[in-house]
Amino acid sequence: MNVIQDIMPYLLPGALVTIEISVGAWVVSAVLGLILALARDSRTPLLSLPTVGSIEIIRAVPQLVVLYIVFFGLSTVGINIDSLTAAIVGLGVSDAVFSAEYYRAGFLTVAHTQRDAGLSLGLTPLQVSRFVIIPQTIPFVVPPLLNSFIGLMKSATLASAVGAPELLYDGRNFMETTGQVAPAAVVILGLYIIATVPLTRMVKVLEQRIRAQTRA
Amino acid sequence: MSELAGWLAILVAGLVVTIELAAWTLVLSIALSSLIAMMSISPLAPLRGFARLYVDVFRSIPILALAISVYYGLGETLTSLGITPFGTAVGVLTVIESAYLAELYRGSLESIRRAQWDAASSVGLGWLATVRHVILPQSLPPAIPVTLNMAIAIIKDSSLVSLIAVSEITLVANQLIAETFKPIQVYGLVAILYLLLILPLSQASRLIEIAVARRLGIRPRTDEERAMRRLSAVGDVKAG
Repeated sequence: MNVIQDIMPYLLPGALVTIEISVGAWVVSAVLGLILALARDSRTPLLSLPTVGSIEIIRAVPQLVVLYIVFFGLSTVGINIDSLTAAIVGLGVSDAVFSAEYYRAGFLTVAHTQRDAGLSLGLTPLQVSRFVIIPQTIPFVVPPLLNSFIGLMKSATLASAVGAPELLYDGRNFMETTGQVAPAAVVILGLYIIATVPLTRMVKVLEQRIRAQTRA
Repeated sequence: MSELAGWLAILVAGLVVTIELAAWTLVLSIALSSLIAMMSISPLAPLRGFARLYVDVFRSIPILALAISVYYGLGETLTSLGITPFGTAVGVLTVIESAYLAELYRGSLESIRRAQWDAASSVGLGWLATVRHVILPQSLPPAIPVTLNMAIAIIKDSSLVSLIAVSEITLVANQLIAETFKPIQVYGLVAILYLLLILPLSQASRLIEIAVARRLGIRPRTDEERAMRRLSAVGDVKAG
């Protein structure tokens, strides 16, 4: 019990950094994902082909390698960013290719006759996306995007590899300085379980509710 | 040019370790997750409860957090037992990936209609016989692309154990960069090698999925069904 009292204040700053990284990366992923989805579905091959290529490549590369490329790679070309920003960008970009797929699947839920109707009213393709397709897509993409957030909370541990002081980084320091590895490990893993299980349940309930509503 | 050849030789050696790591993890995960998936559809409540708990707990724990905890916490014990970092890595990856795979397998088992269970019991088959002769043969084909997608996730996640001193491709690349100071070129090669390993797998998974759906006649009919299937399929390939 004493160990838990010792470790909690030690881990708190790290937990906040973990939240910061996961929220930041989530925003990057959600925004970039939408851009990638629109670019990929664009009728201009000049736009869609490079997007397809980048999505396929980033999908195949581990998050950790993307993070290293952002952190170590950018600094060699003269762009110096701190480990926190690197983690937000790296994890966000890596996740965005999956978000793009969620959006694209979401677009499919809107019947293509609506796109035709929008175009026939004189809207541009981008306007059709913005005013007709995307608003109807939102309920379908919210649950998977929330799942992405949960995933990013776990992926934020990768940021410790480039020295961002998140939860696992602090936990490791605690293990190394105090030598109390087992209790620290139990607390850290416990925190992840406590944070993740209820969130996962909530997303599942939300998903079922949305599905039931849209069907009705 | 010879510099590039030298780099490639080093990285490919790392890639071989990545493949070994992923292969062991995949085989063990298939076994463990099949067992858990069976438990999750068993008529015995305690077994179902255990399966639920396993999936909930190990899908919540980040791979890296478990790897670091086990490596630092049990390192000496594991070494005295003769377990290498490679073995530890396979163990950690298996425990976590199995939770994801078990949930996917449960999905394929539950996709078999209730009427099939009723029909089996009406001809006098017990639970185990029903699973073996009726449910499993039908849920195996859809499980093939799911397993291939999981193999991709495992290959990607295996990069994390570079942080517990397993000399797979990511760690080897970092050592190379420490000597050459050329991160973009080295990581570029690493990305290409991962791509070469993963692209055939994802292609095979896509083709098999289409073939299986066609044979079983479960082609999605409406746009909405197709979209829903795609939405859940993206989640499949994203473990970790």
